[in-house]
Amino acid sequence: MNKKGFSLIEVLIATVILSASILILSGALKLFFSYKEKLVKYQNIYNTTLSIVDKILAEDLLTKPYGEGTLNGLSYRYKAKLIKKGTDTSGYSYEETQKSGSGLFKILLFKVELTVENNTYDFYKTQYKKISNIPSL
Amino acid sequence: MNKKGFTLIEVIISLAILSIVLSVAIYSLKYAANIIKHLKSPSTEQFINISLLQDALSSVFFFLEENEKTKVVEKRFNFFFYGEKRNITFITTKPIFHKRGRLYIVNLYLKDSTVYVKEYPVYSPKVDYKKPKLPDKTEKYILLRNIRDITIEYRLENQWKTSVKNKIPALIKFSLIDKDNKEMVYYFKPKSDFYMKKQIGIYLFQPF
Repeated sequence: MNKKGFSLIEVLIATVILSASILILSGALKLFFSYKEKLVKYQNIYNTTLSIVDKILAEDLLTKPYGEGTLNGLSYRYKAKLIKKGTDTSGYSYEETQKSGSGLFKILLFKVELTVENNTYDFYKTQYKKISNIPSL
Repeated sequence: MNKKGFTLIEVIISLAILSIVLSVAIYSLKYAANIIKHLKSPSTEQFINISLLQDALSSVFFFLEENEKTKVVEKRFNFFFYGEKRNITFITTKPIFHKRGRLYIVNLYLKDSTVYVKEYPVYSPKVDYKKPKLPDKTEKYILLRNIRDITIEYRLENQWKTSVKNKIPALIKFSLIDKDNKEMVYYFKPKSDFYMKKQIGIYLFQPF
């Protein structure tokens, strides 16, 4: 055992090693938490966007083809465009549908453009509009 | 030991080292504070479970249970769906904690700051499929932790209600308030396929 204690050089080297270790650890932690923060943000956007899609799917897009709002701190806006329509003829006989061209429901296909925090997504929604009463079964 | 004390160079070097160490310490403290902030933030597990809940609710099955109180043919069957402000019971093809594909009764409720889920297969010896009910000793699973309150609302015929019975809502609003009073709102749309509803509607009016 060195009775004189540590020399200045020894203390210097030890301190430099300690400082370097702390710096590396801090850097690693910073990297880890920045990735975790990104992941949490991504998951929030993912779950919230799914919620917004569900909310829009439950809307009547014929009367409310566009809208905007904020959910879980994320702002969004959507715009629906009717791209195709047809008639549901089930429940009617072939002759009846040929005569009147009518059915129970109009089937409407919408293309919805949803923007959440500057990210734009497209999805489709089928909607039904009642046009006549259910025939006797 | 140097009896003369430290030289000027030694003191300057020591001060420089001390400054570096202090800078690193402050830097580390800043990240320690960040760690605490992250520990309080919603966990990955919570987000995954919310996503699984979304799957379960979007796959609500239009299960018909027998109504024992009436003998009138068209009122003999009800949709199995029960929702209240802080709990919800439904049948789904996508259970949260079990293998998907089979029909499961799912019950979600809040107790002691934790949202629990109980699941059990509908078609099993312990359950009467005509009047499904969770067996008494059903295992519970933790869905969400550190939740101060939940509020579940159901949209039926364009109106938000706090309870629903024997009807599949058009939309479910799930508001979560965590221990830091942070509110998260999720919307879930149960599968409400028009043809499925119509087929069941027709089926309901047929004599069995």
